This record gives sequence, C-alpha cells and structure tokens, in this order.
Amino acid sequence: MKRQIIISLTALLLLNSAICHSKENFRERISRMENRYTSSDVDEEVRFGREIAARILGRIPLYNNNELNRYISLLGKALAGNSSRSDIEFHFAVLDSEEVNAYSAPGGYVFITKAALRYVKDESELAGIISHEIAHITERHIVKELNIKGMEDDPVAGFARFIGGGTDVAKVAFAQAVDKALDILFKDGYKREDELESDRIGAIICASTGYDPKGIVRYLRRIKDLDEKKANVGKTHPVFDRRISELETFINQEVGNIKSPLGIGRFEKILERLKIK
Amino acid sequence: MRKMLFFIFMFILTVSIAYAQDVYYVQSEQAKVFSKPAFDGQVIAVINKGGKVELIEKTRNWGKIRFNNQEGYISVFLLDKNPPLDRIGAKKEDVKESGRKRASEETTAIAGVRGLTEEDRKRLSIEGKVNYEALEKIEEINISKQEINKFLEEGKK
Repeated sequence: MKRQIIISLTALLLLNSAICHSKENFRERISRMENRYTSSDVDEEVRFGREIAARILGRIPLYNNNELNRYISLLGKALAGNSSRSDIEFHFAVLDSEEVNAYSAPGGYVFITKAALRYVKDESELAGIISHEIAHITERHIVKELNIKGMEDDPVAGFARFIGGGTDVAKVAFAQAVDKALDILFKDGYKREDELESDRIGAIICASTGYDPKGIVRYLRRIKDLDEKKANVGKTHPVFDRRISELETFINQEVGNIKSPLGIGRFEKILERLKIK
Repeated sequence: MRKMLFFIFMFILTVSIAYAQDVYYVQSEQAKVFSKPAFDGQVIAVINKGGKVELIEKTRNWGKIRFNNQEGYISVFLLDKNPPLDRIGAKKEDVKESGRKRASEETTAIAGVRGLTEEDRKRLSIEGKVNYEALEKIEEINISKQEINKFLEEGKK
C-alpha cells in the first residue's frame, strides 16, 4: 500500500513537472484550439494594422496641428480605456481631407478627417464617432472579414502563422491582406452587421466613459442630410436610416441616458481656437 | 467502494466545470459596476483589468454579476471567459532595426515576420503609397493616465 502511494505521488510529480515545463506551449495550443487570440496573434495584428495605417497616411496626409491631434488622442485614449481591448496601444489623429469620414486600422489606429470635425457640434458627438471606430478594432472586423484565422484547415493556424511566416508566400499573403483591408476602408466598406455592431458597442463605450451615447445619432442625422445634398461624404458608412433607427432603439432599451455628459462646450472652444471651421 | 469514489469524482468534476463556465474576467482598463442595468444607475464599484466575476444573468448588454460578496450590473462587452492579455504596442524600432540588420543572416527571417522588407518599405515610401514618418509622429504622442484623468475631470465642469 505504502509503495503504491509513493509510486502515485512520483507519477503526479512527474506529470506536474511535465505540465509546468510545457506550460507556455500548452497554453498557446489550447488558445488556438478554442479560437482564442494569443499574444503573438495580437503582436501580428498590431504589425498588420501599422502597415495599413501607414498606407492610409500615404493616401491622406496627417493634419499637422499638434494641439488638435493631442486633443483627439486624449479623448480617444479616455474612450479606449473603457473598451474591451486593453491589450493594445491606441493611436488617434486627424487627417487633412475634405471628405467627411473616419477610419480605423487593426491594432489600434483611428483617424478622423478635418472635414468630419466641421460637422461635429459637441464632444459627445465626436466621442461617438471615435468610439464607433474603436469598436471596429475591438471586434476585429477587418481581421475577421479577411478570414485570416480560418484560412487553413488546421485550427492551429492562427493570425500570426498566416502573416508571420518567413517565406515569400507569407510576404505575398501579407501584402494581399493589406490591399484587401484598404479595399474595405476606401472602397467596399464594412459589412452592414459589422457597422451596426460598432454602433452598439460605440454607444456603450461612450456611456461607460461618461459621454452622451446619443451624440452619434445626432451626428449621423446631420451627415445624412449632408449626403442627400450630395456633399462630399464618404460612402463607406452608408444606410443611415437603418443605422439611426436601430441605434436609437438599442440606446433606449439597453444603454439609457447620461445625466450630465462630459465635455459640454469644450469641443466648440477648441475648434474656435484652432480655427478649423 | 470504487463505484462510489468514481461518482464522487464525477460529481466534483461536473460542479467544477459548471462553476468555471460562469467565471469571467474584466477586459478593459477598468469597468464600472452599477446598481441597476443602466448607465444612469449608481456606480457601486470599479473593477480593474483582469478582475474575476461570476456571471449570474445576461441580457443583450448587461450582465448581473457577483464579486467580493456583492452583486451588480456590468456591460457584458467588457467581459470574457479568458483572462486579458498584457498590452502590446507598436514597435517603432521595426523599421530602423530591419535597416541596421540588413547584413546579418537573420534579416530575411525578420523581414518575413514583419511582412514587408526594408526595401519594400522604401519603395512604397518613394512611390508615396505609405507614410511611416507621419505614423511615427502619431505614435510619439505620449499621454499618461494622469493626463487622461485630468481631461475627464475637466470635462465635468
């Protein structure tokens, strides 16, 4: 009996040591099998998004106004702190464009155009636009749309393996994925359900931070009117009526009102001082 | 006796799995817990990133949770069954480093890992298709937690 106990304990110790030894690999494998994202997936997502962000800036120049970019970054980082992606560093900036639009790239890059700012009336509206873009990143809409994680039959093949290989094939795949992502941002737009999901999550991020979640609804109404007047509104965030009605219903049912929203009057003063209008 | 031990083992296993399924982790930097499922409810606690909670009920946005012998409501979008990962930022040295290491044998592998080689990047920059300089300028905007808190406090005025 004593012998059996000693053998069992030794076996347990050996098993435990084997598990500890391969703990990291084991966790990585389990994560991939559960379709979870690992640190290396996130690392590659950031590298992938960085390339996309550099290409966005290659098409549309950065608006060189340090004070404005700092303000947008402060607001953006305050909002991002209330999002589900605390594993990435978010970056925010204004683009020098006359098209009313906003963009985001995987890994935490968010841009809003100078023209879009002209139609924003208060900080809650701006928070709504930025939160909507943050939500595209938190929900990994581009990564999922490109179906990167599921491109191979083997469930172990993750994002990192797809674009992180050292081969020429991996480099071509990487370049193609960047091109496809740019098509989504500049030509095709996100899937309708992704836009609606970003609206909902964006409203929650706004409310969690202390901004009026209905700010984005007011902004969308204004942009819809502008679009009807054939103004220069980006065509990658369409279907205003459905977005507005679904978002309003969601906010009324699930989010509620914020008694004293943040930033009342601050944005107007900043715009006036920076002479953007 | 063996049968009994087997049943006890299975019971413990089932209970453990059931319990484990209800445990969630806070994914955001911080998450407010409200007295009712609405953002105008009273904030009864703030749970930091990685905090463990037990999910009791769930609607489209709200989860009724139990934590530290208290109950409250939290946005389910901020919860996940897996603990959150540590923060990963863009590595600005990517471009410069790959340029410095060109002569070494590991260059090809490193460039491959990064998707594009330094030559690819230079070519794209010359063609005006990318702008890493502007990107780095954005990444250099440094904002501390204290500045964010001050910004939010000033927003209340």
